[in-house]
Amino acid sequence: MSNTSSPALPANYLLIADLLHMVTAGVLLNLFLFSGTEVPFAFQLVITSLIMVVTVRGGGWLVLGAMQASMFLYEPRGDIISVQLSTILFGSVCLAYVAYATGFRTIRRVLRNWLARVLHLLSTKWSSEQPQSVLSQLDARADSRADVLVLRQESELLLWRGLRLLAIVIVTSIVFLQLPITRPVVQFWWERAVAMNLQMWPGPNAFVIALACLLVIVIGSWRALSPTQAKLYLKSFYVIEHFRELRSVLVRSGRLHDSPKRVALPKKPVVAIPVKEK
Amino acid sequence: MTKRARVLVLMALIGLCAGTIRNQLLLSLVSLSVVVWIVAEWIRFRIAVDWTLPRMQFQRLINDQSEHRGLWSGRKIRMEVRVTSPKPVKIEVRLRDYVPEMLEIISPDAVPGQRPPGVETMNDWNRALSSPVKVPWVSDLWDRWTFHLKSFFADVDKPATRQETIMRVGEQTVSLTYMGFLPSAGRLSLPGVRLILEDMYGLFREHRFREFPHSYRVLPGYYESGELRPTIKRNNSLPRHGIHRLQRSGMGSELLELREYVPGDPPKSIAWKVSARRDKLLTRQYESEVPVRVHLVVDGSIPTRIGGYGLRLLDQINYVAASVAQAALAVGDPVDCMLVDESGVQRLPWFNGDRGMMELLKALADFSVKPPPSATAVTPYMKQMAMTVIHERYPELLDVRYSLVPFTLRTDYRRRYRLVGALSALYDLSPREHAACMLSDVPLAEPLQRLLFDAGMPWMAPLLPAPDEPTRQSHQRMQAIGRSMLRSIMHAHDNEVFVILADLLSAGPNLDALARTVKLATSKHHRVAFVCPTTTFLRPKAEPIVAASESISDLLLAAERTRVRDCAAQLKRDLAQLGAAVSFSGEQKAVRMVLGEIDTARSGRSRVQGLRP
Repeated sequence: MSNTSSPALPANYLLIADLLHMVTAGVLLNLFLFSGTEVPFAFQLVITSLIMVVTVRGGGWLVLGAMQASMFLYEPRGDIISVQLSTILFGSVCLAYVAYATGFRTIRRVLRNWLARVLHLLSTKWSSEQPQSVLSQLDARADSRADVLVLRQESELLLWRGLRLLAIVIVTSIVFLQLPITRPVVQFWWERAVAMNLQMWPGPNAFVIALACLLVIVIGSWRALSPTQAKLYLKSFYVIEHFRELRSVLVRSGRLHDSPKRVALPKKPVVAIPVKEK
Repeated sequence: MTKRARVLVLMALIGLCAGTIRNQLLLSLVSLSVVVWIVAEWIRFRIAVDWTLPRMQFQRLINDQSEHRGLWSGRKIRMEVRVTSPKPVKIEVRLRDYVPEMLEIISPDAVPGQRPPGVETMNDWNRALSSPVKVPWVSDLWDRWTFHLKSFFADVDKPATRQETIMRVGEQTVSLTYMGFLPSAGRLSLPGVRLILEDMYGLFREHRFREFPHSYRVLPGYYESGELRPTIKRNNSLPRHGIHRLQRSGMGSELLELREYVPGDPPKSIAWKVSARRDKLLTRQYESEVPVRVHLVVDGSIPTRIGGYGLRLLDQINYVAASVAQAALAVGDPVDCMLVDESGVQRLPWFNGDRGMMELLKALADFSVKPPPSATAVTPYMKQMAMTVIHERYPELLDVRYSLVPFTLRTDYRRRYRLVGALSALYDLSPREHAACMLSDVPLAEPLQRLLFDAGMPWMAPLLPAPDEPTRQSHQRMQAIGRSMLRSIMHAHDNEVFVILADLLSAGPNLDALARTVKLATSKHHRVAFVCPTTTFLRPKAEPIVAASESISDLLLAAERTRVRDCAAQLKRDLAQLGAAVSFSGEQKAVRMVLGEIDTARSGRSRVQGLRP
């Protein structure tokens, strides 16, 4: 358990919180997919329910697919020049929703507990205003103090997650606008290249950065290799077939490493050969 | 990376391409954000794994104690694994204690050793869960789909098994507690904990096994009869501990009888007053005072070791041996033990007192652990169990990134390649052995069996190829038991008890070698008792046996009981002719029978309720 012991929440609060957040999630999804469209409400309801059911068990792939389909069909086409604040916010909300759907199992628990705690605090506050005995007031106060502490932790956790997603979208939008994949950026790159004697800036730098990222990823995955896994890898057909020399070098070095070091033999004492005297 | 992450990345890349081609800003941005988010989560996950794993501390407690000299079979134990992290964890860690077959997981309120009715062996359990159609590919498909369906409908928020727990994000300590039951004596090896580390979105997963090995000797349980009759003073003098009055003439302190004087009798033994009254010389005869020594001959040959833990004949033998030894040592009778198996006879020294009892139990526990004879064939069940063991114990060896399988559509080939690869990495097989294991079952059998034994699995069929002459083997076994008994007789004095705990039912008509030794023992006034455990755990009865239902398992059980009954009747007749007592099945009745024999030896009578000889 964490350092702060969380007081147990009543089951009815958890149920209400669960219902509340599921309904909110459903309404949000409906808005994402069908706002500004003329799809019949019954169809909207069926699609939303279906996606929610899959989300509960299968993760967020259907949510992402549905969102992409909605954007693909209804988003107006045009040259991408700059990213507005509203676009970043919308993108963040979309990403947050995809993240929520992907990690539904864990996030649902956190959200449910958070909401239930808020509800519990509100009800405790309301009931404390009613006349009651001193002991029950003390109990309620102790409970609410622990609740507040846990609530603060959970709120911080959720806030950090939200901020992280927002930062990702901001970084992505900056990167997106720099990449030569949109027509204006491609045009800008060509113009700059012509101005700089056909040197494709920042082509070499981008290449170096991409290579460095790739290296980090490869080294990261190799560092996670355990000795037994290394043995297994060296014996796999892929290495035997394609990296025979590398394998033999590694196996030999491994043997040398494992074998006990040879103790240097003491040098034989130099004995002077007696010279026969004539 | 999990399937979920792969699907998301694929969809995001498709969305990015479509958005870029169609100049749709939102679609492109959201799709690219998803890719960046997954990369960021991967980096975060890797850092969290590298930080969390080495710093996690594990502690194992059994019955709230960290140190144990030995555990007892037939008792419930409370297992606890405490996991501590110096800081709250950033990823979800699913912990599963690796439990060998030796330890049965039970619910806290369960009665130890009680199985559901009709379920006798582990094979029955597997059979109960298998597909209704007995076609191999249908069974495979059935198993796969039932597994997927079960995992889909399972409540993933809760641990799947009793020996599992989840350390959630933000937690620092977690305790995994469950109840276990040890069905047999031997050695309980708990190698460590299986860890499944997962990020909060389920995008990345890492399987690891954290080693913190603990090994405990499991001592055989015993039955406490609670009848310590020889300590009650029934006569004028009470012999010292471990010495019993024997109603034969000797140099004890109790008067046995008076007889006429014979020249050569010591003058101090002449009963002068009685001689004066009767007017002839009479000599006092005193009782002999001897220790009633108990010799245990424990058969640990292959037939007694086959089966699941708690279902082996050796487990019944251990129980009876420990119970008899406890009852004898409690009244001061010394006990010695001969452990017989295919490798030879091991004679243990004389045991006395509580310390001797513990030494004997330790010897029996160690005798129960023995690697199986090297197998020459591999069954699909063995391969399946080996894959399960590797999946649980060495999950990193099944990582597809390192265990690279050549492209093939044959799933059995892929499975075998992974299995052989893992065995090769574990037991340092040479490339030649590796290739041989891939191509043939014969070289694969040995490392496979070694893996199963190391993982604490019981012996599995086929252990040995079917012998050309099965009777010869049982004859040799009986000869070995006879030889060991003969050695004991050579060291014995008079009026001692021999308890032979062996699988005689499979010996059939090969009792001649043993019969000669038994005759010799009885002629030297020793008592001989046979305890012969049965595979059905039931005492053979004379009445006809009817199967409970027409199911295959019930019919097989009825057939086995009939075989046991017929063999037992023949065996009982043969042994009765030799003057030996016999009990079939190793439970309390058998213990009482042996204790009765010890009592008879103590009283010096030839029969349990007979007169003085």
